[in-house]
Amino acid sequence: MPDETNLPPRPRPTWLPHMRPWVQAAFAVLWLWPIRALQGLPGCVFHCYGCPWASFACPIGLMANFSAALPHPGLATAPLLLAGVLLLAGGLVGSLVCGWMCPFGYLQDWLGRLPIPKIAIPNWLGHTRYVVLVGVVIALPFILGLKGQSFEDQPVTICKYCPAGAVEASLPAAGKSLAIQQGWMKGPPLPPGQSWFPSTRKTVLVVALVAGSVVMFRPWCKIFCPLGGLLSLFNRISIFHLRFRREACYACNTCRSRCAMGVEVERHVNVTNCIRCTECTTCGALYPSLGGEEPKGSK
Amino acid sequence: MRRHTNQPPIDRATRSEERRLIWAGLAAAVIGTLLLLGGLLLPTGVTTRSGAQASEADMVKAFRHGGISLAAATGPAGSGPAVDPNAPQACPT
Ligand code: SF4
Ligand code: SF4
Ligand code: SF4
Repeated sequence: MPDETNLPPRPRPTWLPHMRPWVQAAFAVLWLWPIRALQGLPGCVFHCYGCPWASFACPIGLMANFSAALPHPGLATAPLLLAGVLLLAGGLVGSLVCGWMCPFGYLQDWLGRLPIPKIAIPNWLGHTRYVVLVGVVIALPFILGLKGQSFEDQPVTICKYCPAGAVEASLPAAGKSLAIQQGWMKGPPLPPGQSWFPSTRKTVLVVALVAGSVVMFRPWCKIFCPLGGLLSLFNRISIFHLRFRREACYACNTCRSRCAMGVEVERHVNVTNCIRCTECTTCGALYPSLGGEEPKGSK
Repeated sequence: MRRHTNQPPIDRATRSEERRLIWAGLAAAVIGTLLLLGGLLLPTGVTTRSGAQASEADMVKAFRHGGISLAAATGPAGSGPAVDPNAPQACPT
């Protein structure tokens, strides 16, 4: 226990963490609102564009497609819109996108709430996200594109092994196929011999995601997600950031014990493994800032 | 979301306040906005199957609607690969 002499009065707790599930739910509705006019725009969250209700398009799938198209003279183009969306989101809020907006992070949060003891993921595994980003999302499609293979024909792609695609695209597609097969809805019948059930690969991905998210907090986000890795690079410069007010710190370590991502909160929080869930701001000594003067928070 | 693990104590005296100026983030956001506008307004130089210039939004739609098959998708008069933004949506996985 900290020495409680010379400690300041406890600061007023912030309401932010209590708002987060509601904001996440509101964003999930936005991403699932299939407005046709938005379907040509990249989003800033990990939401599969194969999902029948997806409004914006998944930036990682797009990045891989643009990369695969680059070696083909008739298709090579600079993805300005995609780069613009990611730079804008990164510059404004960094990985706040992960803590508050991303539906796939929200899904893992729900699975993580099951009262089952959690395995801590070592922080160094977070570097895998950059291997996935540079190796699988950018380099591999480009190299296979050089060999004349279009993205859809490439044997290994991020989309073929993506759990978000398995959950958000394959499961609805399987449900639709089942409904058509049973006559519950109209649609083109399945080819003879083809089952409505998702393929073995997709089933394994879904089971692995669910099992992993029950025994670990956000395993996909922490170990593999190339988008989370990219956005978190902006945490050191983004306009939104977290600050520490030392005169309000009661040294109770609530901040550190509330962090599910294993950030060394006692040292710094604007780092690449932080998803900006703001759970560590509960006591009020760590607080969100847009760069202005600090608020008067302590009693 | 509590971890229930032993935590090292915070040293209030030496812990960084992580104060910073916003200019770098603002610069990234402004460049992002300019790129976004450029992507919305400029044509890509890629042809659609109808022979028109594809916008980046057309390319995004083509990618999400089954991607671009180099063998099947050719432009007018076999002029090379082209995008079809109006194809039905497909599952990329
Ligand atoms: S499969 Fe994954 S990477 Fe591909 S478009 Fe869907 S969510 Fe994005
Ligand atoms: S790390 Fe990826 S999947 Fe997780 S919340 Fe961020 S963008 Fe979404
Ligand atoms: S340091 Fe941990 S608790 Fe704080 S915002 Fe980042 S991920 Fe959340």
